[in-house]
Amino acid sequence: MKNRLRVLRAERNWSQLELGNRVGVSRQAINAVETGKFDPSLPLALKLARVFETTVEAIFDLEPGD
Amino acid sequence: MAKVVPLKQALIFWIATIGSAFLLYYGAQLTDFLISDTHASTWVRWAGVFVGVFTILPWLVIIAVSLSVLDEYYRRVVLIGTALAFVLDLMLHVGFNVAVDAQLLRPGSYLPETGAAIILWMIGVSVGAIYYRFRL
Repeated sequence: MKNRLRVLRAERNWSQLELGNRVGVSRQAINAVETGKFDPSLPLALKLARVFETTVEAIFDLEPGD
Repeated sequence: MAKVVPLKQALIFWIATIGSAFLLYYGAQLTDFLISDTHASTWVRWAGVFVGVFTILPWLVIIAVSLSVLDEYYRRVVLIGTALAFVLDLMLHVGFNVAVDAQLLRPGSYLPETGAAIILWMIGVSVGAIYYRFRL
C-alpha cells in the first residue's frame, strides 16, 4: 500500500515524532507506515486523516497486487 | 509510543515487576524443593507442580500490562516475536526429547523451561523488530 504521509508531513513541516505525538503512536510507527513496512489500523488511518484534515483515501492507496 | 502514566502507577508497576521476578526465581526453587523428594506425599508433589505453574503467572501479567501501553506497531512486532518464540520453543522441546531418546543426552537431563522460554521470547521479539525494520 502506498501513501502520501511523508509529503503531507513535509508540507506542514512536522517531524515524525511530532506527527506521532499528534496521533498517539511512536516515531518508529510513523516511520514504518511512511516506508510501507507497516499498514496502519483503521483507527490510526482515520486519526492521520483527521490531523491532515483530509480523507483516508487521500493519504493511502492500493498498489497493483494489493 | 508508550502512554504517559502517573508516578504512583509507575511505582506500583515497578514494584510489581520486581515482585514477579522474585516469584519467578524463588517459585522455581520452591518447586524443585517440593518435588525433589519422591517419598514425599502426593499432595506435596502436586503442590510443587501448582507452585511451578502459578508463580509464572504474575510475570506473564507484567508482560501483558507492558504490551497494553505499546502502540499498534510495537504490539505487532511483539506478536510476531511471540509467535516465532512459540515455534522455537516447540522445536527446542522436540529436539531435546529426541536427543534424550537417541541417547545423545543423558536420560534425566534437565531443560530449564522458564529460562529457555524467556530467552527464546527475547530472541523472537528481536527478530520481529529486525524483520519490521528491514523488510522491503
